[in-house]
Amino acid sequence: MHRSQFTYSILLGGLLLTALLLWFAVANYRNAEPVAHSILRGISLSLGQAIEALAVRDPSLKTLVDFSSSDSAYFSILDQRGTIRFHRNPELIGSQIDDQRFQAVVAAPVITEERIRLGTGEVVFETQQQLHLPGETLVLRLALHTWQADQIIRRARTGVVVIVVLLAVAWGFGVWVLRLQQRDLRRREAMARHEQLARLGELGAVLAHEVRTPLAGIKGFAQLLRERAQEPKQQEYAGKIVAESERLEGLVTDLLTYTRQETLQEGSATVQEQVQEACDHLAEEAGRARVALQVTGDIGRPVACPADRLRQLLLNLFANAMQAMPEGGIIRVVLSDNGEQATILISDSGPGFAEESLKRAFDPFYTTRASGSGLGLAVCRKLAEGYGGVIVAANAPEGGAEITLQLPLIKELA
Amino acid sequence: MGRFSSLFFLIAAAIVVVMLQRPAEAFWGFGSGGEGGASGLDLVQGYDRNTVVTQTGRVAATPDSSADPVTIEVVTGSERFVVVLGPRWYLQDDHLDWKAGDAVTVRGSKAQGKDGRSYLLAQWISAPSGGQLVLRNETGRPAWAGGFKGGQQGAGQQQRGGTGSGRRGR
Repeated sequence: MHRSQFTYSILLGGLLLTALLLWFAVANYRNAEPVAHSILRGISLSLGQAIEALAVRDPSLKTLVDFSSSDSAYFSILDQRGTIRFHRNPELIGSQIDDQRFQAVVAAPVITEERIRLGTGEVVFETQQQLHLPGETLVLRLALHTWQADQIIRRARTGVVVIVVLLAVAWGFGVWVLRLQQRDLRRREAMARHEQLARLGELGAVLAHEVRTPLAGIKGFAQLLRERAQEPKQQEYAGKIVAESERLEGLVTDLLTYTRQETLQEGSATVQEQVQEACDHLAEEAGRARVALQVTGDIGRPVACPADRLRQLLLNLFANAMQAMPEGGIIRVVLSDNGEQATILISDSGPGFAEESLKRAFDPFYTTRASGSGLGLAVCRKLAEGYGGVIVAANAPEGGAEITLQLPLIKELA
Repeated sequence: MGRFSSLFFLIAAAIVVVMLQRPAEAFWGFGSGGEGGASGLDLVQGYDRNTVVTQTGRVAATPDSSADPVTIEVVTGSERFVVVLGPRWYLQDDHLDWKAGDAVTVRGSKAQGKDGRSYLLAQWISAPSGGQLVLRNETGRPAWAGGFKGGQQGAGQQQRGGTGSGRRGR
């Protein structure tokens, strides 16, 4: 299974499990209240029956004085006019009830249930039901403590909290592990690429060294042949050998530049001058390719990079931009600085980088052209980073490729 | 990584343990702070004549004069009550010299708190000296709310004045 598919499967599984656990916790919490209510109703009915049995046995209600239950906050018996016939607090017997809620039970044989708050601040479950004595019907008002029955609600609520906390912790841990895994993956990829490039570099260096000497001979003899040949056809063939030898020489030079252990040279260069020189150098070629070069902006101080290295950098970048526009176009060079870094922004009106090219633009030997060496931008990055700079490739919002080269400015003299 | 994951688990476990040790209501902002603290009751002004009882038992824990409101724990048979006497400022001049094991009779409004404990908001309580410490009138109006004069009274004496109560419905 592909790695990302595996990750998505794990994520999907996690989400489903989370949803299931949350649903379970919330459903449990929502069911808790009706269950607590049922428990209280059951206790109320049991106590009501017991009180009624005692009352029927002793209609004077005196035996109820000894009746007590730990679930009961209090109970009272009212007649149909609202006079208290019995109360757990004897001082209230004979007094008139000060609310009319009992009337609903007097009118019909119903049981009313509600939670009310007593003067103490305690919330009790109060029921009212008819109490049938021989010859009369009274109203039993019974208030129950709710703490015991509400345990089930509190436990369900605690369950929701615990599940939410555990899920949050699990997700946090999961995200953390995922990030570590991704970081590790990136590091492994970078290491693998680094090793691959190092091997390529070594191979390139050997090849370049072995090719350069015989190539010089081939080129020399071909030049000699071109000069001495009598027939134009022979001159043309010799000229082709010279041209291809020069192209190979350029490739070998790039290869050597890339693989050479660069020793940083002291030096500085004025960017405007080097840009102008590079433009002049490529003017003829640009004219043939119908490419216009446009330079704007200014950089206040020289950059800390030798002139020949900066020129090589710029030539590579300009040549790369020109090659991206075989039908012609425009190369814009914008110069700026922030007092510490010089920024050279080179954009072209070509098709821009493809997604894969953008990721691998600075990899050595990566090219989208049939005849390219794939070393131009790799050499640029090596040089830029070697002199403390940064080079970044991007696609311009208005289209075309955009290379940003940043190099440190030389320190200002106090 | 091993060190970090151990730390992560330790922190997570600590959070869960701390949360589990608190009552569930505290997670949702109930039962913490307020006049009644964890009980959720109105311990200072609350009273309900419907739940008035007279209990006789023994002192299980002597009054903590630094607590507010001042309470005393009484055991009657298998039940244990927290008898709420009144605010500290009101009782600071009274001699609350009960000792553990002293026989005591207390009358007041009984309630069960959100912490599951039984409370008795005292109307009066027998003093070790033999008299009564009257804290509320018969309707439950507290002496510290004004309207009648409470305090130590001798046997057979009655409190004066006071009207109204805190109850709603009976």
